[in-house]
Amino acid sequence: MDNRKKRTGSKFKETWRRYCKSPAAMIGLIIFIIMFLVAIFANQIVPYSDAVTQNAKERLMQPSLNNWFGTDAFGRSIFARIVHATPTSLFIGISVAVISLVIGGMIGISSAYFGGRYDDLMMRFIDVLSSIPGTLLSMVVVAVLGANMRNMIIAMVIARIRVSARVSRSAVFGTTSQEYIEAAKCGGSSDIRIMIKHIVPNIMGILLVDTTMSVSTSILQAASLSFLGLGVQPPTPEWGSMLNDARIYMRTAPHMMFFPGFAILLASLSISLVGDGLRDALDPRLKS
Amino acid sequence: MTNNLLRIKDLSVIYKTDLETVYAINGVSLSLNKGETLGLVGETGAGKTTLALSLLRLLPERTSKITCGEIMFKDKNILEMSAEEVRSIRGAQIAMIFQDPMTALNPVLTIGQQIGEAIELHSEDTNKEKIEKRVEEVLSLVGIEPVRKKDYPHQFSGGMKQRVVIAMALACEPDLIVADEPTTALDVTIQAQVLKMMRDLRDRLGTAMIMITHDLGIVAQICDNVAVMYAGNIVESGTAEDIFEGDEHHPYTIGLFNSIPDLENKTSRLKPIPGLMPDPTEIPIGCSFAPRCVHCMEICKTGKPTQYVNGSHSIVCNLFAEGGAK
Repeated sequence: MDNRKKRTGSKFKETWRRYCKSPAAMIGLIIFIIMFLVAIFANQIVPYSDAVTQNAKERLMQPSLNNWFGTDAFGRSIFARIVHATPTSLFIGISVAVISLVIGGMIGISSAYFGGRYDDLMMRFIDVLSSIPGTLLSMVVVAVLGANMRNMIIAMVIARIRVSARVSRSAVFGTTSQEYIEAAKCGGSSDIRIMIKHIVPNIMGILLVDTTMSVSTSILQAASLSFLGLGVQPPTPEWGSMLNDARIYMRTAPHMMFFPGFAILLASLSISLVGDGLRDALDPRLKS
Repeated sequence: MTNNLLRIKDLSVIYKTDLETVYAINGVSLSLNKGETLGLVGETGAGKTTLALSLLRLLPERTSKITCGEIMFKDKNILEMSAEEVRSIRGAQIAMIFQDPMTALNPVLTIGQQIGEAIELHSEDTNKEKIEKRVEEVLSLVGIEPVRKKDYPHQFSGGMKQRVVIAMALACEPDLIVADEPTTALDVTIQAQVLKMMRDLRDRLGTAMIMITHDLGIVAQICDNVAVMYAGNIVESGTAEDIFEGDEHHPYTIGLFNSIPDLENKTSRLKPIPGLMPDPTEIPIGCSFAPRCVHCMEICKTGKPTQYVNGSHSIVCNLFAEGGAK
């Protein structure tokens, strides 16, 4: 009976309890929370002026007590720049991943579910998107809409939809033929209800992993767009563009590359770990 | 209001692909009164499941087609209803029990959620507590502790899962339950348990039932009426007594009975029906059973057999036609 009682807790508590069991997921969550706090309290940690004020005397300094992470080619503190880039980069990465998941997911799930002509039509549309290289497509969209962060996110979402649509479509294929979908229809559920309540929970694991992976690729892609002058405009700090700036000084000032790269790594690693842990905690089939 | 719940008249269903046309059901007629149980017997591929699916309009849309006939449920033709109307009937008035409980439950939802879904969809009162209460009621009805509603399907054994599936079907107190081989995936002891439970529940709730099976033993235990299907036709129908104790039978029914072991007679080997069911893409012009029938006559090969009716018992076979040689 004790065992029973434990199970009667709310679903959230139950998921949390299982989430806590995985040390990797906890580490990921802690890193993510720290980054999130850094993003919120960036101004309290180090003033924004430090991140943008140029100082020709102190360019390309090695890490020291004064400048924890060293300075860049314009003598700006890399530490301050990384701290102030956190909100921008995290926001770009997460929003692109989530928005493209929602839109691509809707396209992919519905086309796998309905099949037939609708599926053909949708997938040919996705094929058209795929036939244009991602960066080029984003560039075109930004060029049309104008260069700023919002438009860059829209452009990246459009370029990413095809991936999430394909991933979710293929994930759904195994489930539509299952008898429980028919059983749900038999119980009088509408198509939309079946997709949301029966199919989405079944493919949640795949979607979560795909989304968390796309966070880091989105941060990097944002960097290449910023590099082309299509995204975040300098001098606004952004991890990807910092990494790009560091390329020229790779031999003379490797720290310039190390710190933003490490920040991206930490962000994507922590989000991946959280995603993995969430998948395991949410999937009742893996419940022990 | 008449006592009649369901009347199928001259129903024909085909599956059509680019390569071939499969004649799955060829003019089936049957009727069912309130509270009655009809056993639908026949070997695999006879069109039993297709018949059940067409009742709920669940046939695959792209390949299947109902070519003619009507399905009157409570004096309304299901085949002419809008999608909306059909959805309001599914689950609420006609429910289905599926063959394999292992796949008929969604692995990522708790059984409580799955049972509650039908209730949520069909009752006007969507009070959460009431739904929960009803879920608990239904669960205890099928003999599962209500505390287990928060468990997932994989935490149940096969027999328990089938109980959950039955609970899902019962949730909205439907007038008709279509059970598609509900015990085939279970082992014999559990089979007996589940059957007994279904019988008790049927008697208690007064639900009509269509029991699809290929097991004559189940039919004998639970059904009031029996219809024997062969290659998309009903070849013999009647009350359970007519089928099990009557003197006159369709040769196919005799073949079916010969294929089950008999405790009283000592036989070293069972007598299976020779041959296979006709290819459903090429149904014979005459009687569809003719190629396998030991009593096959010339007229059986050229024209559709005549129907012989004796009270509640009906046999579609030339053997019993007037002047037919027995």
